[in-house]
Amino acid sequence: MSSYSPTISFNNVSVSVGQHCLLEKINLACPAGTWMGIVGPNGGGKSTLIKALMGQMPHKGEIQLAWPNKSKNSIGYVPQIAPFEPTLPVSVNDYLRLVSLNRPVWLSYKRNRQINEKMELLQISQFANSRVGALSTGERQRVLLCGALLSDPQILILDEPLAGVDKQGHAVILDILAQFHQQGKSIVMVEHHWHVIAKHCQQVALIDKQLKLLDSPSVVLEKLNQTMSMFDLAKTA
Amino acid sequence: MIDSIHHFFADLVALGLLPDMFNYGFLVNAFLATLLIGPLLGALGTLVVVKRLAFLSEAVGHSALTGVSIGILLGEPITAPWISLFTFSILFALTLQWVRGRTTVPYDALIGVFLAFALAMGAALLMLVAKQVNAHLVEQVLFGSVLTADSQDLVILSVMFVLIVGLAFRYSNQAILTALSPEIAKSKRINTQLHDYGFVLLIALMTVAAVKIIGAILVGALLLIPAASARLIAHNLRSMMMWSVLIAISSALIGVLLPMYMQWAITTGPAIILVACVWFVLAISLHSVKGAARHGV
Repeated sequence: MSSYSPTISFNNVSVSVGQHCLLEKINLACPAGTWMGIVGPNGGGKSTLIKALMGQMPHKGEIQLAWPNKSKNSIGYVPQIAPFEPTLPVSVNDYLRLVSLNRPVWLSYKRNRQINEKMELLQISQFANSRVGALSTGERQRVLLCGALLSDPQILILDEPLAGVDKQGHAVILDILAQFHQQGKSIVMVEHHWHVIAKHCQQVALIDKQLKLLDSPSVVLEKLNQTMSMFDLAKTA
Repeated sequence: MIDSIHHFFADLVALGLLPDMFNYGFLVNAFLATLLIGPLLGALGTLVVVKRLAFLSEAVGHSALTGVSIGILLGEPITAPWISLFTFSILFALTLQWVRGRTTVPYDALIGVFLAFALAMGAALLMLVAKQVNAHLVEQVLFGSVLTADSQDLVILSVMFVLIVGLAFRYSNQAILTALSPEIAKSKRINTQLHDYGFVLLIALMTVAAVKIIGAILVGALLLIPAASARLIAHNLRSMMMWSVLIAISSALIGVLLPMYMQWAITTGPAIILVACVWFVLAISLHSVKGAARHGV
């Protein structure tokens, strides 16, 4: 299957809020079709990097997404914190209609094959009429991932998609991501679980305000072992 | 055209299908105006509640006080100072949104400051105006009146109705997603800033269009109470929107017609909001009963 994933490049990218520097002169490239993991200590700037990549945080320097086909330039994005109040009557079906259809959500729902297929894929069909805010973290992450996949994206940008997800949810999400990647599409993912990084990612960027390391997971782990104490490593991975 | 509508209602009265009060042209006007205002305020109110911006509608509502006063002071018609009213409320809403993007002050605090300014400025100017015109006008501006809606108002409301329904068909999904999660909306290449400006602009336009019937003090409440009630009893966005529109229309109609029918000396604004509050109490009660049933109490 042909992929239209973009090549991503960060050229001297810095992000500051007031006097506080969050990221400093990041230079990295992510070739099309790569599954890249972003790791680093809490507060090290991982989410800031993702937000800058999504154009949601003002930055200095240049972030480039070079698309091979300009008409197929859809991005699937799952933010770190799901923004749904439990008391707000937004059902899973509502959310998936909002992110994927033009037909107003206040009109009656006509069954949509694509939505149904993706819900089955992520095993969330049984929650179709549940409020998104009332779901567990893992269920909600699957709903957000389903919404991200509905636009037929060429790249997925995920900020801790496995945070708070139970074991079964882990397996479902990673299986879907692996299938997505097998189609030649890119994934950029902030992740704390080192075993996930080691098993799935081709490239890892260690971010701690600056880009500390950029290589394959095994090389990054080896360098970390050489340069960091076990305590520091535990904080990072 | 308005004459033929009045004749139509008079015929229905003659046939015994409507009470005698529908022989009055002003009441038919108010009736039609509420049918146009209700759905718009109810629908827009759902966005107000999702965005948690109840105070915004209050602040913009109070800005109408200043708009009316400036219009009268500049010599516009006393019962229809449309140019000043529209201009000031829209400028007020857009300035609020503009300042929001350029300050670190939390949005609720910023709205509080603007609300206080609108109320203070409106009260100061209204006192000035009250010396020049009948004090009864001040009451109409503050609390609305069933007597003041004319054919020009109905035309303005009809234009607003068509505009907002058209926008809702095309952009409501984007607007709701922007309200729920600007981050996800941006990732879908939705211009969230434009939506935020569009939202405050629509609030300002609706406020101005509804101010004659409901009054400047309470117009914000009809943006809030129906949607807040609907939120308690709805199970999805569609039912929330439907309940909100139903509650807004019924509150507006009952608030306009019941005092006339019963010949109570109550102005329309307070009457409409009191009916909406009854809905809110019913919604809270229903929500509590459902909650107790769910927990087996």
